[in-house]
Amino acid sequence: MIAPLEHPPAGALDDADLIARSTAEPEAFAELYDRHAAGLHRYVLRRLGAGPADDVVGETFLIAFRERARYDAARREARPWLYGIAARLIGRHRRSEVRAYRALARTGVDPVAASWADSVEGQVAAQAARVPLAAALGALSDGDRHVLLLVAWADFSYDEVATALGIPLGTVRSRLNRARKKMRAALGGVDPTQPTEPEDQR
Amino acid sequence: MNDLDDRTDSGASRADDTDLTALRALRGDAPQAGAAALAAGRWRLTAAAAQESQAGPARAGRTRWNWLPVHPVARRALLAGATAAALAAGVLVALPGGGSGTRDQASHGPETVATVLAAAAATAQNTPAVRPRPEQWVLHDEVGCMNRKCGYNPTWVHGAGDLWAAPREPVAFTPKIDMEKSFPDRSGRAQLRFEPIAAYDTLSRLPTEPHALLRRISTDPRFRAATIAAQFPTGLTSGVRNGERVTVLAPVKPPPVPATLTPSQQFTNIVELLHEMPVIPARIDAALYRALALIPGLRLLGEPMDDAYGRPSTTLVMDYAFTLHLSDGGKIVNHFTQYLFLNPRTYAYQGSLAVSHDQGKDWPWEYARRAVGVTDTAGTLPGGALWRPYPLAVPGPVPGR
Repeated sequence: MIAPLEHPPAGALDDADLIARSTAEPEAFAELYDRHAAGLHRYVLRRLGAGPADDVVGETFLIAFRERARYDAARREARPWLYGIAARLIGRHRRSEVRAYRALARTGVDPVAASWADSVEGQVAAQAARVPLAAALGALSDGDRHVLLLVAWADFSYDEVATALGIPLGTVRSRLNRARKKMRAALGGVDPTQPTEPEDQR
Repeated sequence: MNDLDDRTDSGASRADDTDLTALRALRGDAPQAGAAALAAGRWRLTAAAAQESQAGPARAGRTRWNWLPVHPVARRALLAGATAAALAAGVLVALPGGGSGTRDQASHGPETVATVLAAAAATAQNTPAVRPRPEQWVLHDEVGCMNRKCGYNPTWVHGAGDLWAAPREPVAFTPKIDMEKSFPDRSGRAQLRFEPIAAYDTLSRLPTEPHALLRRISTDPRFRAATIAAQFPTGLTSGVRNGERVTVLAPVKPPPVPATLTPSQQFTNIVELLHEMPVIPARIDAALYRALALIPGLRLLGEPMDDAYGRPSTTLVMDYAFTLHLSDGGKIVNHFTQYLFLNPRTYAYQGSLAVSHDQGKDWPWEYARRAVGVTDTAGTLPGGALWRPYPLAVPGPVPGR
């Protein structure tokens, strides 16, 4: 006779309960990797390129694993926590990240996209806004860039950004306002949504 | 894409969200992470988790959640079930991580036999094996070395088991493929290697619980026979007899089949199964590594070691003695060291080495798996490219290359 399981499988738990369980059953933490690694990887990929993305994602989960006892169980969703750890690691690549934005702004060729694009043509695919956006991103402070890209590329809410970066909600708002103003100023008359056509102002 | 209205609060109208829209398009063609990109991180995490499990209570400390019950069945289920994101489905191909494993990549803290095998099981679990169709070919491309002299040894076996193919000798510049009938001997090990579909189905029926699997492959002649036959093909062996190394061509008694396999025989048995079977159902493949973890006496080699293809490896090892009884009543006792090579980055199977230690000399023979896969045509690699000869490394002395 097969004894019934005394608790539900890992897949049925939310992130907080999964992390809780992993304190007694460390292997359970792998489920968290399966849930979030792919999304985090794509986010880091867009910021740093393929090579650093592999490393940052791996290191993020190792750090998370080692720090899991301090996880705030009131946060049922672990994604902000993980992206916050990743943000610290991304910060170590600040120079190369900024250098890539500047290179894109200067040449129109994106060295980060080159890490996944099949061809140079793919890297320079037409999008009128790429160059001014890259220039503006390269000029942002680290803090503003984290906030802006967590919203734009990770689809984070204000609250999630605040949790991820460990900053007050008001700081999130002010950073995002500041960053977006710079984005809009950089775009100027460029139509960011129509790669090859004049902007259709709404 | 989510609506921006409830996510942004910049004081701008919805129409002004075009900056975010444009930003989202920037590098928006970034792909979802593939198997290789995610594999290394998962193995590192798995190894850390297994290490902590082995060390006892979590170093992270007990928390208020510790009342949660722990059930060993659930524990295994968690380890086995936490797999969704890993290697991409599709054709069974080359080795996870390929030849890219390096010592640097492997430097993720101290490893133990348990952590390595837990990671190897996770790799296997997440590496889908394709059951070949009768008209397809199963490629097993390996480098084989005897006494440090190496050669190619690629074979393509028809799914139905009626044909097999190999490069015409010499292979160096003539990658033409000879088609031949399969080996007539379909018993035991040959059946596993040269009847891919039948072997796949046979393996599929094995239990996945590690204790049960170890017991089954240690008692079922179809699997157990591989242990001895693989090392000493009937009619040809060598060893030390009366103080001298001799080569015995014939006759050799059929190897005695013990009632139970010793730990070294169990280890060798599984190593041979991994070597012989390019297509193993993922859950069985994973269970084989979990079964390995049950075998006492297995140790992790503490020094760097390359396989016969020149790749660094994470190496499991066991020393043992093997007695071969001759038909004239004599016997030959050989002392062996059996190595199992795993990719240091992904812990995928990479090859094996057996060394006979006699008269102060080492007599190594080894295999390094370069690629396995299912192809539509003999002589090709998965994806359709023609198989070509490749540079061979010269294995260094053993041990401590």
